[in-house]
Amino acid sequence: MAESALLDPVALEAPPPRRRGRNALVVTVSLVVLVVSLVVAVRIGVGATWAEIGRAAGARLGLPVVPLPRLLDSLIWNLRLPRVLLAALVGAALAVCGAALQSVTRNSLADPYLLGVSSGASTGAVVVVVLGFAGSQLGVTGGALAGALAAFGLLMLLLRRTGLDSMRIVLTGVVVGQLFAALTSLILLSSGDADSIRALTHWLLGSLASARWTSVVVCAVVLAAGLLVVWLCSSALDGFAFGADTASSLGIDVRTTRAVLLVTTSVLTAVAVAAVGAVGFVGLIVPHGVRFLVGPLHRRLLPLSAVVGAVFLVWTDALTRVVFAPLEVPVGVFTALLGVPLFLLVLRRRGEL
Amino acid sequence: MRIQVEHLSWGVPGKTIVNGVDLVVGDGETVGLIGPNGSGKSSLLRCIAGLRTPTGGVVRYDGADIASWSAREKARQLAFVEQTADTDSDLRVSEVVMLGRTAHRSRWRGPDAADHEVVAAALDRLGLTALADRPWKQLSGGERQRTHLARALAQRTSALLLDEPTNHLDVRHQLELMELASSTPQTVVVALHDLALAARYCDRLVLMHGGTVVADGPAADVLTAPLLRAVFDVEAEIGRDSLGHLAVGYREPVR
Repeated sequence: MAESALLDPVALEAPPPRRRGRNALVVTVSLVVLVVSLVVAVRIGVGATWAEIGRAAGARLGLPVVPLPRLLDSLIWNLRLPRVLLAALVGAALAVCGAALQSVTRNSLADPYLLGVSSGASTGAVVVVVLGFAGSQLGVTGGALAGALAAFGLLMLLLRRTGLDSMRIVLTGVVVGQLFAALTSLILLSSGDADSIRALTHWLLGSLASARWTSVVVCAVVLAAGLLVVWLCSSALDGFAFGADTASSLGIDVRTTRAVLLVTTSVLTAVAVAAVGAVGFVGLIVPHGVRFLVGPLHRRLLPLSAVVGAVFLVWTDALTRVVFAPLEVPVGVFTALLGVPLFLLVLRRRGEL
Repeated sequence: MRIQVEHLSWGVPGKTIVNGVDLVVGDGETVGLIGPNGSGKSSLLRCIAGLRTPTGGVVRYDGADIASWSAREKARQLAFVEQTADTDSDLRVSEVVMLGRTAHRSRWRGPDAADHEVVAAALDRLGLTALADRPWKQLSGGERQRTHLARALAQRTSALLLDEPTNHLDVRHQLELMELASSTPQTVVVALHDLALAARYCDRLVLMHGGTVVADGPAADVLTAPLLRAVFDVEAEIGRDSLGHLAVGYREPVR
């Protein structure tokens, strides 16, 4: 056959310019916004002047400046800075988890919180705390990881007959989440005293108030590794768009890739939950916004979701410190207030509401 | 690439869907799989594509058992186009076609200039160049089907497996697609419902019924009134149209 028979006469129109330049701009702008957000957020709610912030940083860096009074220095260095950094790390981790899960499950409503993974992690962490290992960050993280994997395992078990490609996954996730939430309440009420119940409840709602450097370090290391693993699966995540058979025929080992991604997102979720409790909806909100900016390809979507997720949680956390000051609202309450309308919007666009 | 299917069986618990199929497709040949709904065409095609693990028998490509290949190796040797592969994602046409390059590059790098060239050539071959930047949701059924075929071509494989690729296409695009399937140097196995189209473009037809091959040969030998009566439960008359192509006419079904 003459090959030209397959050519429409109109096919010679030049394609529009590539979006490469725009992508570079989006990445640069978002990184700048992240750095500025981190710096500004450190100051919000501390009551220190810019000069004092500068002196605190300068003294730590060994510059010849007058050091701050010990109390203020400690406030900035040991409370505020880790808190802001932790918000950034957790926001990034949850956003990356959301983006990955939405592709793996082919469901735009997937998010570690909505799938019940966060609830499982909470249960695991609470068990460890109640057993008396509250002081050990690694112990709490380990408990959260066991809980997250248990929740994910249960979810997959319940979905094994119906597959991953339906609304059923979100409904099943909600059921799993409810189960683990009930378990958490049961454990709390049967073993804790009033004070520890209040502290744990506050943490369960997602609070950054207790952020310390140990959590920052653990989160930073796990996030870096997790982001790399997920990013290396970028082409597979793109390929999942048309379902398992097409993905497989593209050369993706569907089973292995799925397992790697589900375990990695569970680990990321567990570390985030162990550090700050169950903060919901970040994984839902951020990837949707970022897809709007750079399109659905994961090579770009994942890193940018991480940056935007970081900025998002840093600012949401700053809001929690300011809006009802001096009362501090758990950050999870704020992300839920923002996330629920978006959830409904996505549902409506899919024509299921 | 020569495809050999030996005593292949596949099924779900309690039901055998493909039952002891033997089939040889020569290098560069275009073979049409025909048969009624549920005759096992799609399942057989999926086994040949290595997407299902047979419960019995083997599929060989140039003698090599496909079960010994990794997913990546398979995707470099054969491309498969599903009947309906849809997505909620906002991928553009060129991005979907680029998915065909997945098995050809390392995890660490994105598409390079060579990949873009292959994609451009595949888009050109299917007349999709003007639609390269169009989002998936804005495509018609036929444009989606052609995009998947362009993606399969971008895999640059020596075998091409197509499951009812002409389903959503208008007449002109059906003819063009089948023309492409029969003229490409690739070995092609294509499941089809349209018997006349199958007869016109395939070197050989394989008629399936109840999971087994009931006839295998040139169109004129396979499309006979007794065979069509036995397999499709229709009274057919086989003749030639005014252009000399094989034509199939059907009588009203008798109740």
